[in-house]
Amino acid sequence: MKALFIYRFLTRGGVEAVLATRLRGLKKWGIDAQAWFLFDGPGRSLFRGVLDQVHIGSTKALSHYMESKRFAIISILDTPEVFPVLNQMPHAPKFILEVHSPYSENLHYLKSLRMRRMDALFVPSQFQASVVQSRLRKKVAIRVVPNPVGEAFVGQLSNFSPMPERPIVAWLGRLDRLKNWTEFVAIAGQLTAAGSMAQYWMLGRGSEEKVAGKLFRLAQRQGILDSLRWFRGVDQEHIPRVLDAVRTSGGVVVSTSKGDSFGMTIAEAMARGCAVVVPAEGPFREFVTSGEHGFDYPLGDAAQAAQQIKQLLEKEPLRRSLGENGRTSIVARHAPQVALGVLAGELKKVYAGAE
Amino acid sequence: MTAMNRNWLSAVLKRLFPPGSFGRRLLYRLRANTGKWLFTSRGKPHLPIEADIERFISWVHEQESHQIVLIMASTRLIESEGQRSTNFALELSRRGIPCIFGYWRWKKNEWYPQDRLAGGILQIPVDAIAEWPEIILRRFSNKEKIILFEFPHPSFFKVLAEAHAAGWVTIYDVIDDWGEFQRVGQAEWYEPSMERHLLHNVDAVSVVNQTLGKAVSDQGIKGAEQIPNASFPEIDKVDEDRYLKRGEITIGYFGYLAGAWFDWDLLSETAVAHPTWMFYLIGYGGDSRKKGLPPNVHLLGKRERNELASLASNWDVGMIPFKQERLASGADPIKAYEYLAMNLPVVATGISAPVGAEDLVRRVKGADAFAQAIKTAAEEGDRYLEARAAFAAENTWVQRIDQLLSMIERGGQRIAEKRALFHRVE
Repeated sequence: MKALFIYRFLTRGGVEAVLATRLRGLKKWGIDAQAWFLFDGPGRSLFRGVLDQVHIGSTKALSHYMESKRFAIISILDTPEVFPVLNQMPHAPKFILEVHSPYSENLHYLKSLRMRRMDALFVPSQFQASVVQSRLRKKVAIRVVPNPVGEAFVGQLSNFSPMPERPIVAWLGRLDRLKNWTEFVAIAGQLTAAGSMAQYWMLGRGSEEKVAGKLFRLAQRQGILDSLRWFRGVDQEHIPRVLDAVRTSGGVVVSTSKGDSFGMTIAEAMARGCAVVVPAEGPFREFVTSGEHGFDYPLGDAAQAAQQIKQLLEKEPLRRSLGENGRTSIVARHAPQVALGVLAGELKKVYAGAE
Repeated sequence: MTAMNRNWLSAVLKRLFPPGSFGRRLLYRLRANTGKWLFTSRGKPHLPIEADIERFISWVHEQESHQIVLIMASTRLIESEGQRSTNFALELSRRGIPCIFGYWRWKKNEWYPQDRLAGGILQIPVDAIAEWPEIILRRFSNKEKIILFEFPHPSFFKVLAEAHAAGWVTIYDVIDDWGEFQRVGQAEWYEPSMERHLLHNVDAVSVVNQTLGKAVSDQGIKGAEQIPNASFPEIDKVDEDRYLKRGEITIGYFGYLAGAWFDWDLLSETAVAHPTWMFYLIGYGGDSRKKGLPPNVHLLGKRERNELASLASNWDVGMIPFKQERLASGADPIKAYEYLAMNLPVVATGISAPVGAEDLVRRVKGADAFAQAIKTAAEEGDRYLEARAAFAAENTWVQRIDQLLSMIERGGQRIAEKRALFHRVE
């Protein structure tokens, strides 16, 4: 079976990471998977080894490509620009719409979505299903198809050497309003004020041009400039090592996100055995049980988040056991061989026309 | 298109074509076919040296050297000024290690000529790198990448973050007491918290002398490598004879003539008290004190590096008349190394002697002691010739780059951590 996944940008984002894992793994289930991006970008390194399955071009070029290859399944991920060309296709493959974006401005198109053109709608979490449903005019069947975490994350754990001098409290994501990075700086400030010796690693770049100045001033106000290490956008291939450094240092991975469709960075951290602290809402509730895989905190309550992190930094056995539980849980549900198996099954169901 | 224009455009488009509307869908279609640059913020710069950058990058990928070095310098690359960053770049170039020299400029429309590309040195203004660090920092994936910050400008906050993310080995080379520069009315940009951020978050710190070593140690930095200044290996080479009128004693100075640390009062007082002595100043840097000097003080202006040895061959003593202040005490004047390499006895105020040259540099305080030291030094003749030659031979930029590369090779401080994070996963 031939399947094409269409996405807007070839950047280093979470959707591209998921697509790379799909391209690598779906062959095992008899699916020849290809990906099409409308715009080129710095994300090619994610697709090392499967670059021959990656195509880039305009909607016009995409239209020709789809006609010539006669895919059985065409799945569109948050890319409504391509809807017009789907109508022009002489043969009728099965169309799937996948909604992965947590950004409300990227979901406006759902209001005018005509589902009769779509054979199925996939989302990566129950939470995202509820978000999507609330934006659709009619109630439709939404299938939750788990995201796979990359093979490099579920692979054997290895200690990071040299041992970092101080425990690392890490935050990964885009420095924007939705990911709520300023709350992480506030949490770090609380920890520093409480005498924590941790260092704070922030991995991600901002969508606004002035984010660097804003981060500098905020970190300065919170008194964490000395212990803040900002990595402005790390390639996905290095993230497993970063997470190994966090775990080995006796650190924690934190999310402050106000909106995630799945929570990939936290799932990846758990896969590498890191204890996590997450908001007690959104998709995290589906895979982080507080006290079992990490801790949660009420979004906006930096003091409580700092308290949870402090506890994890100070209690090595607790941190270790939560990290191990988290890894076991994530591997069981989101390892590529598991999650891609579910995806392959869903794709085949759609192709067969089954509900 | 600037960020402000893009935001404005985005707001107008949102109002004209509300999300979900037919117009919006048309816009999507247009965007898909025309390219997203028109509608989204990519911040791609248009630099007049883009072609040079691309040519340099292609050239670097063809080179055998496994390393590339980016120097964020507070000066321009001018050989005659003999600054540390310039000497680092020239020595790296001599070894075939590609080098990007980030230079300071006062106006954003100043683009200095790419006169070193053939030697493997690309020159880019530091402000351009600070604004668009990705144009350089993301382009050398197959090399060991080293970035040297030579001053703690706040705009380097983003550069450091980009360098960390792209796996560069980051080094803060502490060459001056920038806080003191600000105190005396220079380095207005200086922000102490940015310097602390650099100190605590680079992979390695190096310092030029013990004074600055102690200052960074007081800030909690352990194991900073001391990489002193040095002299250019052929600085003592006389290319042709250049005669200067000599005095009973002839004393010379070359280097930056900054009012912040150059002790004009001391020089004037000494010159007035000893009218038969002759003083020569070779140098650059504006200072109103240059006017109204005693008649036995002569300003020779800025001279090329190859002229220095012949001019200095007319001198009996090399002087460093710096103010007795914290600013000068943090400095490690390159001229001290160069005077010694030219076999000149050195008399100095306000500074520490280079390590290993404590017996070769007479350090004094006050005009009387300064004059007495000059007199004694001039009578020394060739007594310390061998010692000076030995010191000069061991203190060239060649050894300094050896030391720098060896520090990186050893992986001390946090360099090994950076390597471990970014080793390529095959």
